[in-house]
Amino acid sequence: MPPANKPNVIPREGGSRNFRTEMGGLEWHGSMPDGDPSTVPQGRLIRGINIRFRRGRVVPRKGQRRLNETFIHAATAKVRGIVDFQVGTRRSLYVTGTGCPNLSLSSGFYLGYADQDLESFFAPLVYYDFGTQGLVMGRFAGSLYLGQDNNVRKLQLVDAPFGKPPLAQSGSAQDVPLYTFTGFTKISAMTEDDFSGYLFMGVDNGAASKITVHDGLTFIDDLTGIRPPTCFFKWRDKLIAGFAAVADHIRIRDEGNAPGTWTTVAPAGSDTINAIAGVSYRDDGYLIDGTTENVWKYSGTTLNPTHALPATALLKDICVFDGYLFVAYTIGTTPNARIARYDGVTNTWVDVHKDLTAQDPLVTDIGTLEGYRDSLWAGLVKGGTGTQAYSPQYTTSGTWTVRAGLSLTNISRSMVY
Amino acid sequence: MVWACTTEKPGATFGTEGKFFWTRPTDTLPVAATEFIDTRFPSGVHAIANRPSFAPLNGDGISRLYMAGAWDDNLAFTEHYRLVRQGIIAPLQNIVNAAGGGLSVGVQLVAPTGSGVTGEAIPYLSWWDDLHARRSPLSAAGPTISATADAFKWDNLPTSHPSDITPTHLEGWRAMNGQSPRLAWRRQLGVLEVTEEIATLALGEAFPDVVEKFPRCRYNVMWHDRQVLAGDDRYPDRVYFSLLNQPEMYGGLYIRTRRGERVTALAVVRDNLIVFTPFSCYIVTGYTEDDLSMRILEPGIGCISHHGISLIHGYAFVPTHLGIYLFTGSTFHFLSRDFQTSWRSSYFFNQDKFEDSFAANDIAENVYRLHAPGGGTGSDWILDYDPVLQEVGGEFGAPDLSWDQQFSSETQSYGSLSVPSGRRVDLYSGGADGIIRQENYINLDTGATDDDGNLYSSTWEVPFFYPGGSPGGNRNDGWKFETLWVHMLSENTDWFMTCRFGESGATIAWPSVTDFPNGLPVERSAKVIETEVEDEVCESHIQLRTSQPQAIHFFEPNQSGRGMTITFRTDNAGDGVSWFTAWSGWGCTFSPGTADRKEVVSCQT
Repeated sequence: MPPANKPNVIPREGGSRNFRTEMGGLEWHGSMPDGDPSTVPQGRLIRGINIRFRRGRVVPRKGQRRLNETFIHAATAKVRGIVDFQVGTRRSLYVTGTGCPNLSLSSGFYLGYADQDLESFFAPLVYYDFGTQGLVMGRFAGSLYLGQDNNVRKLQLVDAPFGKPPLAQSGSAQDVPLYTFTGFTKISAMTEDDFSGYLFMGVDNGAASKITVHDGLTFIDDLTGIRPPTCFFKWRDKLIAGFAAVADHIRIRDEGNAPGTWTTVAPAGSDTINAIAGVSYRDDGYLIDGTTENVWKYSGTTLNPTHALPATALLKDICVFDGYLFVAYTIGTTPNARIARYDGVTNTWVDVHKDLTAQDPLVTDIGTLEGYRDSLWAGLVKGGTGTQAYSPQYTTSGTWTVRAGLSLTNISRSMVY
Repeated sequence: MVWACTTEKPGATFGTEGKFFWTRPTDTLPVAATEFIDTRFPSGVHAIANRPSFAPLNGDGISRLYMAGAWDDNLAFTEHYRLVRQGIIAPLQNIVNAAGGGLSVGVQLVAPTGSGVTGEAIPYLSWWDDLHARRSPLSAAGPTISATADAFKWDNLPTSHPSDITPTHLEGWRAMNGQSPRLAWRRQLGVLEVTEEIATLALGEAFPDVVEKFPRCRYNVMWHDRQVLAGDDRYPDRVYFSLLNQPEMYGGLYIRTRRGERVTALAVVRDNLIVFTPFSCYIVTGYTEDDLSMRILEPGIGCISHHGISLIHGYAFVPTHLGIYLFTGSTFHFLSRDFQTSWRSSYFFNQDKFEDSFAANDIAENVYRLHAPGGGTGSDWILDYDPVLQEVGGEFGAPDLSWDQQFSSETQSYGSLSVPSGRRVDLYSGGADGIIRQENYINLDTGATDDDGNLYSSTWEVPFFYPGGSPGGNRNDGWKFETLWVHMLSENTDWFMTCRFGESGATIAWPSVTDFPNGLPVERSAKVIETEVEDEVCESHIQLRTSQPQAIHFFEPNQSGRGMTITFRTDNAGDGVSWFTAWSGWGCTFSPGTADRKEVVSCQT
C-alpha cells in the first residue's frame, strides 16, 4: 500500500487540494486498533465491525439462517460441538423386491438401498426388467453378489453424483455376470461364511438341488442331491442351512474346505420344520417356519419349536437388533403387520411388540426386517405398494416412520453391507 | 454423511446434562427438530460442561468419530451411528481351576471326546463386540492348569457385560506352555458353558498386545495411524498414543512435556504432531515406538485453546497468549503485530473466554473466525487471510482484522459441514438456544443476507486525514473540507456516514455532519463531477463512474478543521430484504480554512 496520505494529496488551482483513497488509489485493509488512531495510515481502518474485505473493498458481513427452526435438547441448551461424520466405506441397507419404483409395479426385480450417507436416502440402484425368480443377495470378499434367476452376478457399485438419481446414472446392468447354473431354476439362498472363506449358494432344481461355493476364483459343488436350501445363517463357527417342509430338517456344516461335511438335524418332536429364515441369537440358532406359527430353536443338540406366535400368524422374517430377537409376521384378514420380540436374558416373548397396521391401517404386509444402524427397519406393503419403515431408534415399540408407497410390489429381502 | 452435534445445559438440580444428536441434512432448511436423533449414551456415561474434541478416522470398513472432552469417558460415534465408549473394560471375573460360581469362572479338565490337549495352560477371557469388531483387554490370568490329554470345561460364564452393552460375544483364550494367549473359542453372550479341546497348534490368533482403556482426556487428534490424546486431568503433562492402527487401544505409550507443562492443545500440521502448552510447544515426529521423538519447537510460543486452532490452506492459525500465529509445519509467523496490544488487553479482561475460544476456517469468506471478545463490542476476531496467502515466491502478509458482533444467541461452536453426497462445505454455528445456524447466508432470489431475524449493522471507521502543514488558526479551522465523495456500491440499500472534522482525541468537541441517508442521488454526484471534468483527478472519477455509475456519492460538507475522519454504517434491513453495499474508498477537496494562515509547504505533518 502507499505510504500515509502523501501520494494522494494533489494540489489544485486556487490553493484547493484534492485527496483521494478510492478505486485506483488504495486497497483497504484491516483494522489497526493499537496505538494512536492518528498514526493509522490511509488504506487501513481504525476499526471494522461486521465487515468483510473483498480485495480492497469493504462489504457487510452476511447473516444466518436456521438449520433447525425449533431448539434441540432445550431452549437453554448450548450446542458445543458440530461436526460432519464422514463414513468411508459405504454401509447401506440393500433391499430387493418385485417391480421397480416409478418404472413398473410388478414386472422384473430391483435392487435398492437405504443409506443416510447418500443424498437419496432410499433409491433403486439396479433394475432387472427380466427374469422370473427374483433376487437374492450375499456379500463376499468385499463385494455384493446377486443371485438373479440361475445367474450369479457381482455388483459393480456405482454411486450417483450429487443431485442425480442412481437409476439414471446406471442401473440397468451394473454387474459382472460370473456364472450360470444351467439346468437349475434359480439361486435360492446366498451367504458368506468367513470361517470357511466361501460364498455359499443354494441352487434350486427340486430334489436334485445343491449347495455350491465360490472362493473368488472357482465354483465348487459342496453338497449335491438335496432339496434347495431356503436360507443360510452362521451359528458359532458353523453354517446352518434351512430347508422347506419336504426336507423337514436343517443341515449344519463345519468350517473347512469344500466339499464340506454337512450334518443333518431333524426336529426332535413330531413337528415338521419349514424354515424360511434363521439367525443366531445368544449362542442358539433360531429359525422361523413358513407354514406354522412356530419359531424354532437349535441349541446345538436338538431342534424344537421354542415359541408359537398367535394362531394364523404367517411368519416373514427374523433378525437380531439391540440385544433382542425380532420376528416379523402378518396375522388376520386385513392382515395386520406385526413384530414380536424375544428377550433372551429374561426369556420373555412379546408377541405384539409392534403392530404396524394399528399405527397405519394402510399397512397390510411386512416382507423383511433388519437392524440398520440405530433403527429396526422393515419392508412393508402399504396401500398396495411396497415401502419402508423404521423404528424411532432403539424404541422399537414406538411410533415408526412409515414412508409413502413407492410404486413397487414389495420389499422382500434386505441385508446390511 | 450425517451431521452430529453435542449439547449441554445445566442439570435439573445441579451438574450438567448433555446430549448427542445426529441428523441427516439436505439442502432444504430448516430441518425439523424431530429429525435430530437423540443418540443413546453408553450406560454410565455423563456429560460435563466442556467442549468436545473430535478426531475422525476412516479405516478399512470402519468409520469412527473419536471424541474426548465433553464426557467422563472417551467416546466414539461409529459407522452404525452408535455411541460407544472407547475401549471395553476387560472381564472382571476371577478364573479358578474348579467349578465356577458367584463371580468366578471355572476352568476344569474333563475327559476329551478326541485326543485332548497336553500342556500347561493359563486361561483368560475377553469381550468381543461383533458389530464394531472391537475387543476388550484380557481378563486377569487364571491359574496354571496342567493338562494331559484333557479337554477344558469353562463354566459359569458371564452372559452380559456389567456396564457396556456393545459386547456381543465372550472369548476364551489359552496361553499354552508359556506362549502368548491364543484364541480358543468365541461364543455369543448367553452361553454358560463351553467345553473345548483345541490342540495347541490349532488355536487361533494370538492376543495382540497388553492393552487398556485410555484415561479420560480433553483433546484428541489422529496422527500417523494412531489416536493421540492429551488433557488427562490427573497427568496434564502427558500425551497418550494408541497402538498403531488400533486407535481405541492404549498400550501404555505416552510422552511427557519436558518441563512438566500441562498440554493445552494438539494439532497435526504437515504430518507433524504439535503439542502445545500455555507458553511453549513441542514437535513430535516418527511412526513407531522405536522412532517417536519429541523436541522443543518454540520455547516461548504456546496455545491458549485447542479448539482455537484452525488449519487454513495447510497452515495452522494458532491463538497464543501473545496473539495469533501462523504455523507452517516448521516455523511460526506472528500475524498480530498490528493488534497485539488489543489482543493482550482483551485476553487480560476475558481470560475465561479466550481459553475456551474456538475457531473456524470460514472458506466462503476467506476468514479465520475466533470466538473471543475484542474490538470493544466484538465477539469474534475475524482475520481475512487473503493477504496471508503467499504470492508465488513471496512472503506471508498480515491478515485483515475486523470483528464480528454477537447475534441474538451467543455462538458456542463452529462446524464446517457438507450435505450427503455433496462436497461443498458451509459454515454452521451452534447457539446457546439449542439452535444451529448456517453462516454467510444469502438468498439468491431476494438478495437477503439474513433469515434469522438478526438486526445488525456493519460499521467501519477510516483513519484521520490530516492535510498537514501549519495552516494556523485554531484546531477546528485549519482546513476547510469543501467537497467529499464516497465510492459505495449500494443498490437498494441505505447506508450512513458520520464525518468528523478536527483533531483526534476524545476530549475535543467535533463539528460533525452525520447521517447522510444513502448519500445523495447519484445524478447529483455525476453532475457535480462532470462540471469539474477539466480537473485531471476528476477525470478518474468519471472513468470510475462509467464502469459503475452508482458507486459515486457526492457531498458538500464545507466544514473546517485540522483533519477529518468518517465512520460508515449500513444496517441489515431484516429477513427477506436485499442488503448489499461495497465500499472502496473516499476522497475530498480541501483548502485553507477561515483563519489567516501561511502557505502550505507540505501535504503531510
